[in-house]
Amino acid sequence: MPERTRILVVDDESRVRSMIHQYLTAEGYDVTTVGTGHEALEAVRRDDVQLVILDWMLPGGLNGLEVCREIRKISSVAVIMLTAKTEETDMIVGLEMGADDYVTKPFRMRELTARIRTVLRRTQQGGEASPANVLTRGSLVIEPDKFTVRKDGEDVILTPAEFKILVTLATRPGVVFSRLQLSEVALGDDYIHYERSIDTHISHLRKKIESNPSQPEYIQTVYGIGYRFGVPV
Amino acid sequence: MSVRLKIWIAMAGLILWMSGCYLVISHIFTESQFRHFTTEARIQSATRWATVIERYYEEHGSFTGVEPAVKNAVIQSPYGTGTSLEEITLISPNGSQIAKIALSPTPPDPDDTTGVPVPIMVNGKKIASAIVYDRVIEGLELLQETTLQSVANATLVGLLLTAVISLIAGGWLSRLITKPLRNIMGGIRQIARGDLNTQVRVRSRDEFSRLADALNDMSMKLAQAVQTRRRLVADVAHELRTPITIIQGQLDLIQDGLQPAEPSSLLPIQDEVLRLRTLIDELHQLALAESHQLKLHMTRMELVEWLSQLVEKFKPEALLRGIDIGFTTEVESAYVSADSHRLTQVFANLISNALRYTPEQGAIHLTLRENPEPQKTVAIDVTDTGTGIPKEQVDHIFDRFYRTEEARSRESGGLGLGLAIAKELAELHGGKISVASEPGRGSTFTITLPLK
Repeated sequence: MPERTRILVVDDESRVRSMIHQYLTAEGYDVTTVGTGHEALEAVRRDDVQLVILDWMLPGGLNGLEVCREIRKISSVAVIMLTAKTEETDMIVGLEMGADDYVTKPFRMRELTARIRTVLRRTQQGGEASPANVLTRGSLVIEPDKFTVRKDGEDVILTPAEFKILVTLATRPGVVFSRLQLSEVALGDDYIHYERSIDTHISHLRKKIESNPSQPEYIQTVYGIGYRFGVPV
Repeated sequence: MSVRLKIWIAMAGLILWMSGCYLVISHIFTESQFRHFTTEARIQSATRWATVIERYYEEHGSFTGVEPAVKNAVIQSPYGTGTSLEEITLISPNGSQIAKIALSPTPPDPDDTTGVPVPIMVNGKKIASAIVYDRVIEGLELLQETTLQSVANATLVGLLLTAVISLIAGGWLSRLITKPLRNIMGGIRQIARGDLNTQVRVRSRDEFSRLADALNDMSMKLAQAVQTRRRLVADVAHELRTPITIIQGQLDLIQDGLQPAEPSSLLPIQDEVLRLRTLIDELHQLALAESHQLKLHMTRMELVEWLSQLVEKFKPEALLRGIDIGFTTEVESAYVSADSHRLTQVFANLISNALRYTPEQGAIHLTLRENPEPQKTVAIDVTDTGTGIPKEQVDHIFDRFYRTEEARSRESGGLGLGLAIAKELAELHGGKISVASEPGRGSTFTITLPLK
């Protein structure tokens, strides 16, 4: 087994730190957390860190942007900025300062881990293939990065929304997702009040991937709650 | 209809009406004077010949032979043969013609001329009337007609000229008068479009400039209010982000099966929900205080007793933190009118802040003293030997959501609303709150309250 990826989390709120710490540890990463920019630079120098999650707003004279610039002087480690600012220009500045990606607060841990995987794949060229690259579920083979789904070896053509729903469900088989959660993932925040429209997407998706759409094997309805991906027996 | 048009119409109308009246009156006056003058002249001229006839009648007792006698008299008169007298007709009182004295070869055209009738009086009795036809007198009538005509023409031209000038002047004046109004209207439109930094400039020193000043003041206050609201929304959004991120992350952990739904993994969610509740409560309170809708239940309070009791309540916690807390008073008693619950909130906030930032072995001291300025107020100092507030942050310490660097890195749980609320509450009591601080040595918060 290759050495575990070490991630440094820099945020001034200890509660956010501990939450990210818990989640990423559960996801199988080694996590170090610090609260200030100076500590972050120290940690980057000292430890073999593969990725830094860096809060934009940091106390103590050294903000996230400056920390990012300093890190770039000493290391080529991947950096994902956490920011409460949603202004386009702020993002551009952040990316110019050497950040690899950014996530706006409030962020979902699922989104953050997806970004972490993407950034790590990009920065660790030739490195180990990420386990999340191919999802094999029964007769379905889903490749999220390539945007392809095959059923019994045959390509299935999905719309982007259908694809996002499928990936979300298939990544965590057995976990129930509410309509609201799925519409947030598939349609974005703007459509959050149209959660019922997710039913239409699900019914189309079933026609495409289920052998018998009226008795779905993969995308199962949990009455009164939402949908889940059936665990293959 | 625009004000400018109204002013213009009013002004032009007034000028037109006045000049019209003036011209018509002067016309009527001139005409009557002139008519009077010509009538007089004609009668005078006619009367001269009537006198000749009267004298002839007096001498001869009848009109027989009056014709040659009058002709003779005319020829012998200073006018001689060049007289303008054309004809004199004598008519008896019963209407019959007595004599017709023709003095020129061509008789007067009755269409052209009307003779001037003059009574022939003898011994105070009218015995006939003479109708005198005279070219000069007729000419006088013609003169009267043409003169009156030209007076009328002049009046008309004058009226037209006045009209044109008054319309132009009125237009210019109304434009001048309404110019500040147009400026102000433009400003209001700009404000309505959302440009709240609009400042209207009116140079005159009159009602308009006062209106413009009021408008400028309003737009400035509006801009400030919008700015405050924007900042508040941004602040609140910012404060909401962290709890929501944590709640979501924690829930994701549970939903994704990375953590069981046990009390220990639910606790952080509970904590964050509590923080959100506190945030909402404090925001509500601050909003009420700022809009002066917070109801104070004022009672007469004695501060010496009240403060010593308050300090007692904080003693256990101070003891726990190894901090000395005390209270001294320089006055025997101080009565104020206050809402004791709200006042407790103010002091509890100050004391708990002091406790938070004062290290072990430190001290917190409350002092009640007379306040020299303004008069009839009392001051309470809350002094600590804590970390103090850096100079550049002192000005912002009462801003909502403002937390010093120290407060942020300590994560001592404050939302940055406590001092903002304390300030509003102190002001609602008619008092003031201020701070003096020396970084590294401590801070003193001073509250002044009016004495009752």
